[in-house]
Amino acid sequence: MPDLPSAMRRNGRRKDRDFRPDEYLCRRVPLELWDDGDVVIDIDAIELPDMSVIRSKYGHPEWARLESDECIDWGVIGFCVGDIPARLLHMGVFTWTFGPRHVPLEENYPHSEVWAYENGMHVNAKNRLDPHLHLRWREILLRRIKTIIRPYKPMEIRQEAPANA
Amino acid sequence: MQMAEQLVNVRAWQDLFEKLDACLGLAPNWDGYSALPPSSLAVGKAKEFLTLLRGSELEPARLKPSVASGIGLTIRKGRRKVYVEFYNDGTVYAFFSDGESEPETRQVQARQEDYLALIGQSREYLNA
Repeated sequence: MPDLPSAMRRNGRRKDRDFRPDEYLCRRVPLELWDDGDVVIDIDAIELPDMSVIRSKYGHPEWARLESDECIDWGVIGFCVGDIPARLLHMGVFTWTFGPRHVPLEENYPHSEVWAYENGMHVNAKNRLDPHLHLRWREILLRRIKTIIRPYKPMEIRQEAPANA
Repeated sequence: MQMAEQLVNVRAWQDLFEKLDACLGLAPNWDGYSALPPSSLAVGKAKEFLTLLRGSELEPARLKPSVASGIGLTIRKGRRKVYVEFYNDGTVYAFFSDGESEPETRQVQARQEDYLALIGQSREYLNA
């Protein structure tokens, strides 16, 4: 496993539930999911529920590559909190909402997740997500996703936390 | 079609089938998070669809394992695309998207007549 910047560790810090709409959320994407010779992904790289991301308030995009040696060449995608499809109506009746949640880990303080809620209740089981809703949400988010780090692009690993942390 | 062109085409389709077989070798959490590798059921359904697609004039632009645990297949024309996802439990869903309006989703029964209907709808949608 690559050496982790000390600023990435939790070190007793509390959860921070405050996300600004312009805060970026980043996620590593394995090499298998990048089209050959092109830098595009499709919805096969996006999932719910509880999609893991790194929040830019406390971490840099390249930190998403530090999960293991295998991930070090992977690409990183990102989207703003305000780009998350926040509300979808399902079958004209059920209201689903979506949003970021800070879920710090001991070795990854910026770790966060995008959660899904059915009528306000957190849904964390894949089989409770209707596939129609799941596909719609992923496709709408995909339209707003940007490539932050291309696969194989060497990046210096910043050791300090972002300035706004 | 020239013979050389035909051979390239045959090779390209063989590659797609081989790509599906290779997906079976993925390890759990292959996406660096919690994705399961595609099941043999999902790969089998994707192969059945691919076999029928081969007989049409449509070609997949992308065929990948999906982090939603299964196989994803995309057919594109310009900004329009049809995405078909073959899940590990054997179910199949598709959607039609022009990149702007609300995607239109549908469940597809994993049988030949439904696959052929989806291919027909895809051709119509992509050529509209």
